[in-house]
Amino acid sequence: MKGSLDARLKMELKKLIVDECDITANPEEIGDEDLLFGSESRLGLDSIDALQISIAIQNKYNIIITDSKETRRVMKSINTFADFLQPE
Amino acid sequence: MKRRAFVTGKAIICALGDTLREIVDAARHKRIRLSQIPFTLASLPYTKPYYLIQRKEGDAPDNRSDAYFYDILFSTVSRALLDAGVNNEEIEDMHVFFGSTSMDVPIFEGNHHKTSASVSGMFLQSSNGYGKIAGAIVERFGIGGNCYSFATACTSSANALLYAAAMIEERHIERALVVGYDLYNNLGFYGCEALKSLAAEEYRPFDRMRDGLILGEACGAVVLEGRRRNADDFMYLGGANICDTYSVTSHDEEGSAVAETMNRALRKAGLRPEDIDAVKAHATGTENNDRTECAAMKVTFGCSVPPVTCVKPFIGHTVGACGVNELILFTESIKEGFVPSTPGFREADKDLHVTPLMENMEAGKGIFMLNYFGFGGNCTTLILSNKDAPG
Amino acid sequence: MNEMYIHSASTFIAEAHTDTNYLKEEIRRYTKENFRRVNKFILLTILGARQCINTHALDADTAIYLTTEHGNLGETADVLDEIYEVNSLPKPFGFINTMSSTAAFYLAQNLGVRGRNITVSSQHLSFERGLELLKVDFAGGVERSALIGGVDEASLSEASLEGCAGRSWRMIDGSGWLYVTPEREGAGGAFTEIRSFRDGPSCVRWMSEREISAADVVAFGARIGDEEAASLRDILQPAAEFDYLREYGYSGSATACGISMFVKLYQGKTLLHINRDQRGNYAVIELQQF
Repeated sequence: MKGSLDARLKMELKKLIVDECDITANPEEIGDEDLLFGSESRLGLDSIDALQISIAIQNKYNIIITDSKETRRVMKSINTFADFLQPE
Repeated sequence: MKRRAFVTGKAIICALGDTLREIVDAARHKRIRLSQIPFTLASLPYTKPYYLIQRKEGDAPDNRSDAYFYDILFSTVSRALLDAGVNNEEIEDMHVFFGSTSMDVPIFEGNHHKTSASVSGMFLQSSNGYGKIAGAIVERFGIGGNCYSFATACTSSANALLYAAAMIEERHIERALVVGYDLYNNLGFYGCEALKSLAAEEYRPFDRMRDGLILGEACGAVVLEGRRRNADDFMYLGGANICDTYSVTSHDEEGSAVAETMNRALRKAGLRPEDIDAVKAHATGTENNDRTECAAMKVTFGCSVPPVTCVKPFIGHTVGACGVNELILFTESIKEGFVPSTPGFREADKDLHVTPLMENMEAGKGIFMLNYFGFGGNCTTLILSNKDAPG
Repeated sequence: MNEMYIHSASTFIAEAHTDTNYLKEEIRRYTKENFRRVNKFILLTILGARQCINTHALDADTAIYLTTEHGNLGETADVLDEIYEVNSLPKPFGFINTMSSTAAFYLAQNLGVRGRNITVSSQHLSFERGLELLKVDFAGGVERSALIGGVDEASLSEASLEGCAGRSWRMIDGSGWLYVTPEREGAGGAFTEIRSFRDGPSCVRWMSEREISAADVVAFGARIGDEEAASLRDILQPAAEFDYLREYGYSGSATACGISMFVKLYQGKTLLHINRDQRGNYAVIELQQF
């Protein structure tokens, strides 16, 4: 199943982001299409948050995200992130 | 007449060697020695370059003896004291200013790989706080004065020097030993890799193709005194430290806080920007540092940025120790008649508007600015000169 | 002695194992900023200093001197665990916070000040050495206002008492701060002495030979043993003693906490604080309250 269709995986990612980035929002409040990074995003995550999430992903799913441009593309939203981790 | 502080003694152990002569010679001929270190503990399938001290063939972080950390430290300090020619009474009278990022972490790591105890528990038991290394120095050399250990990330030993000089100028103390020391540690190496700030192969600060920093290990020690011992001793003219509150890991790319640091140092030294003959840039080779620093130099110096050099490609980014290490490498090269070029630099980045020296530049008497920046927004500028003292 | 006037002082102390969420709650009394990616040492720093500043309007060039025995070593231990036990690259926030300068940075950012930002340590005399740096900056006209504090966590503090026979105070988290300027106007007190001595006898000689009248209150730092304290009492004949270690507990930054507490508790009095390090170097701080 594609990651963006896997509700369990998406909730897991939301919880991971909330925990790792030490944000006060509830995981349920993060929309699947919400922008995660940048000034237009409600969460307003930045490049260090992205690195923090990358290491957590590496430890949990054994998947290495190599460069920062790829990180931004992959972590645009919960849906893109889930599809990256679980392409099908 | 205002009292000045002079660098009367110095010594360094780094990837280029143990003696000032071989280090300056290597700088003159752009000879660098880069090692490769794996991320064994994290089972990563690659290595990254590192500027390792290699006192003998096969010297590597995982085969160093327990005593290695203090061997390097005490050897550097004793040669700095010898270089200054201070007698026992003068040594007793000294105060110690120590700067480091890793403090005693390398000692802990060195011991840890021989045991199977829980890491954090063992670390907390073995560490006696940030003041421990300076405490070991005073004990070993019979120094009677106070110890000040600076923990301001990559500006640590630059700040140590700033305060040692200020205390001599204000006649609070007569002489100081300033030490910058960071030895290889997994914490720093793995940590910088986690931040994706380590370059893949080559150190290329200010270059269009720069891709990060390369760490290095080194111990540098200088003796500061209120009088010149040799005609070519460098004199401290002024310095500044401020906090750029933009971000904990990076600086405002407009360079305003960094420029303000340089301007305050110039004011403290009673100088104008055009009085500076050359700048030793901090130049970590990361995208943000180089962009910020070059923008700041444009703010401070306008269209006439003095010749700029980046010395990290010689010995690596020695983090908290870089303040003293780079000061020694830079000023000792000038004593030998040249400002070193920047190895690894090939192609200008048109967005930076600053091109560092590609060939050694002849140097004599002059006034020089040394810049240092670090995590926690810390910015430090030191200004030194080998001209005759005023008055 | 250069002019170092105390305009405000405050101490935050808490029992060991205080929860970081509790510290965040406390901080909300002083600032709306939501601190994330920070640890206990950083929160203790912000809370103590914000309490001290409270409603004071700060100059943008205010300097920060954070003194500490152990700084972020707790975070360092956790990050070493990630490398050696979890066999992972460390997580970035943790690694960044192994650098103790981050605490003074977050404080400067929250207060909107960009003066000097120094984190300094010296075995057993960190606060005293920090005051000396501040003194030289005021003397050189480099700074015109400063926040100086001492911060240490309870969990790390026990190690610094090694070799102090018979000293068994309860361990606390401590964050003691003072707001100091060279201007007398509006100040409640001033530092009148900040002195170092190479040994006990020269410290005693200085105290015995002083012409000015004795301080109202004497306090001893953690490494002054009971016998030594008794003989110093004989020499100084103080009207009172402030035994802040017994009353409130010990942290690596006990001196900063004790002195800032004195400012609050003993209005109109003078204090002589005597401390020493493991080598037998002595440091004396005298302060006078108006």
